[in-house]
Amino acid sequence: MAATKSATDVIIIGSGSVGTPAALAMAESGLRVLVLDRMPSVGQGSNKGAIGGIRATHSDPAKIRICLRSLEIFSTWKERRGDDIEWHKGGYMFVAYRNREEKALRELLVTQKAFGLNIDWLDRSQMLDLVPDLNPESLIGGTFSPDDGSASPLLSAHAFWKAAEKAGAKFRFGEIVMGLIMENGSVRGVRTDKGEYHAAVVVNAAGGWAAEVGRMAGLDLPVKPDAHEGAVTEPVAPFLKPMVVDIRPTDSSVNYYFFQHSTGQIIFCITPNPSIWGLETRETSSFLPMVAHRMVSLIPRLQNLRVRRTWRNVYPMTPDGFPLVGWAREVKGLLLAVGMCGQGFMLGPGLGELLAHVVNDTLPTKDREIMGLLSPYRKFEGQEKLK
Amino acid sequence: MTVFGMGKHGNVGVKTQGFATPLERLRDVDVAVIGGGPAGLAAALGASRAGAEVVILERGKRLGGILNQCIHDGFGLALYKESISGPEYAERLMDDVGREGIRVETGAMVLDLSADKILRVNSRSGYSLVRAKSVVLAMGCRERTRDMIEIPGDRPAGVWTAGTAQNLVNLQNLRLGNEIVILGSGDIGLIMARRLTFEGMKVKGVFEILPWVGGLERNVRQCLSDFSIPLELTTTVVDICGRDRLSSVVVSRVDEALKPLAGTEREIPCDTLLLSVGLIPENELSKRAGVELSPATGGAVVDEMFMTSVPGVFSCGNVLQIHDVADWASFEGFVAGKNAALHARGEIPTRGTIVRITPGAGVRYALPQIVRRSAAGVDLHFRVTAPRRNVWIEARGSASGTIFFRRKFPRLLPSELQKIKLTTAIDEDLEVAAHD
Repeated sequence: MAATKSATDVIIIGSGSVGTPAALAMAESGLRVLVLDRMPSVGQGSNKGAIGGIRATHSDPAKIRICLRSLEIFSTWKERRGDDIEWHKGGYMFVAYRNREEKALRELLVTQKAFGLNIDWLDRSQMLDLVPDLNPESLIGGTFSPDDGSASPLLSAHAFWKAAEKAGAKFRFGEIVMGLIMENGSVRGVRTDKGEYHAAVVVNAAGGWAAEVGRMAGLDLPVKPDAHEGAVTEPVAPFLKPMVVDIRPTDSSVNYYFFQHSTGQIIFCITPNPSIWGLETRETSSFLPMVAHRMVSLIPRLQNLRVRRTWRNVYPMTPDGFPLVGWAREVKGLLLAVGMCGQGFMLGPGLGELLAHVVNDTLPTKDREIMGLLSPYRKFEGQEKLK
Repeated sequence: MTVFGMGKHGNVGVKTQGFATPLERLRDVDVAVIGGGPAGLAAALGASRAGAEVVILERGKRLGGILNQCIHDGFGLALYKESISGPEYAERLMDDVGREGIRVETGAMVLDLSADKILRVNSRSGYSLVRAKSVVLAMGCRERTRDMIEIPGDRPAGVWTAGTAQNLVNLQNLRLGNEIVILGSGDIGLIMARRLTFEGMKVKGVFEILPWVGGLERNVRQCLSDFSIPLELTTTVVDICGRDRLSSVVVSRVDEALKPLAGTEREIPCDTLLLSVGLIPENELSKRAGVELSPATGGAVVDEMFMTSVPGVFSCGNVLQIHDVADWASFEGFVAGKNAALHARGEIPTRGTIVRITPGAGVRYALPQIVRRSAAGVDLHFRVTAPRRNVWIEARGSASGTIFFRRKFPRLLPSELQKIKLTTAIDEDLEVAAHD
């Protein structure tokens, strides 16, 4: 195939939490972007399963830096762009009821503070001042980061989409990517069930389907979807400001977290133990008893709330709990932005800008470290402490 | 111009100056019908036949609503003059909707409705705003749960609301258990008693706290008596036992104040308890739009056009008042839909002076609650508070004492929704009462 001049610079596979803001950032940097998605609209994969939490208070420099930028984008979106994405700055609270969690959280605090994060240790009484309904029995303390918050995944996905279109990005929905067009070890475009599209750069932002797309390029990406469930209650008067996270593991679950949305509902989620692998999204009957029991023991007052809906969706997991971001070595022109491990929503906007820099080869020196840490070719020796 | 901003608390329809924000994908329509069950489908037909451009927004994957799980017959007697099943009834309405070329969106959840009739809709094709000239509320109802009637005891698996059980058995082909107890004698509970018997489960009894049956008499005969399923009135469940799975319930007789009578408790081993203890109109969207609700019906306060307190917003079917028969929900839909179309064209005059219709002795509610002054030929719905024989129903002018309606009914049951016609023009407030 002759190297014909293509009308597109970048094809992004997936218009979810990562692909959509990436399209926006790339289009605004002057690139001609085409986004392909098998679903009929934006955010119809795992994005719609997200509960909307956004925090920069991670345990590693890469995610901290990306999410700091995401927070800036989410929190200023309305004033800069006009649409309300229901950004709510409620902060994140991690609770410690045992010495083990206290030690883990205090250790993390050192890293987090070194990155200039606004986070502090609160003692028992400060915690109870902030969330008076917390079960006081054996509460030691916890961390609180007031600058974290939440936004509506539904409204923000649509806001990013509309802004991206305005910046010139094209979206084609309901098209299934069947294969990559390759030439001499380089990617030249994408073949879908409806046609062929040519571009020198293809971004794999396919979330739960990332490994499938990787195989089209002959890559064996270590991304495995793992099911999590969430739920929403009836709306009640405001009584809970921050997102509350409890990282104590039990024999059937790991951490769980919940917050009160600005419209009054409590939205919550739990990480099952062991993980449930696969793309299955039918909810289970074991989820609610498991999470309700833990939430009610943490905030007894929650027992009076009625649950309206539960749902299940997938976390595209990697061996160490960190995303895989960077150029594929085996295939020239294929950029990976996969394995968000359930944090695609909060990483998306910051990561989108980073990806735009990578494609334009304008990555600031300070961000090179991030790309090293998230390299798809790292050794996976560490383990994310705050999954 | 008007910009439909999404406020912090989800309030749409905020009037501000400026241009549309990028989020907006605004679609205009004459009549938006929320809900595609027996009332909503009929409303869409009524509106379309009256010349309006209509869209049906249905939350489920298919049209038909609860009709789809009602595989028993008895539907269509009033509308089609024959007895057909729920899915067949839905199919006939759906065929008509197809013939009319009415736009249907399934999997479309209406997240919000504002008083200026902007709907926030989330569907598979994304998030969008619909601006309607008229809206028909046809969201149906939901079931009362164990929590709402406060049955004490353990919290084991095996306790279901009857409608959920109907869905699981009829649509998902699941077996609920082996030994069933049913609390409440609402129609769904009665129907499920027969259904579970057909499916090889043992229904050990239907218990009703009131001294009369909540469902239709024909259902007591055809669903319980014909299968020798015991029905005990003035009896309720006072305890639920079981660790992981339900193992038994304790029933007790109640006194006139519906308080359990000590010493009458009886333990019944069972693994499944169905609750058929009432339906609640699903009016959350109506509230968002500021629609005035009636505490007596749990539905909107409407006038004789089925228009609510919010101009251009109409209500029909179970979201307005709980019906005993689906056909009547559809009849309401046809009328509400037609009026919605007329309103969309500006052919319904503003209300002007109104008179009120209120329930008197022996009457639980009367609907419409509001009537345009001098309206004639008004269809009046009412329900009695308790079973009555040889009872006079009277609609009397509150000021003059003039009798607008008077008829003797041989038998009236609280379970039956009654409809009468007030032929003369109503020019004063009315009270509807039952007298011996």
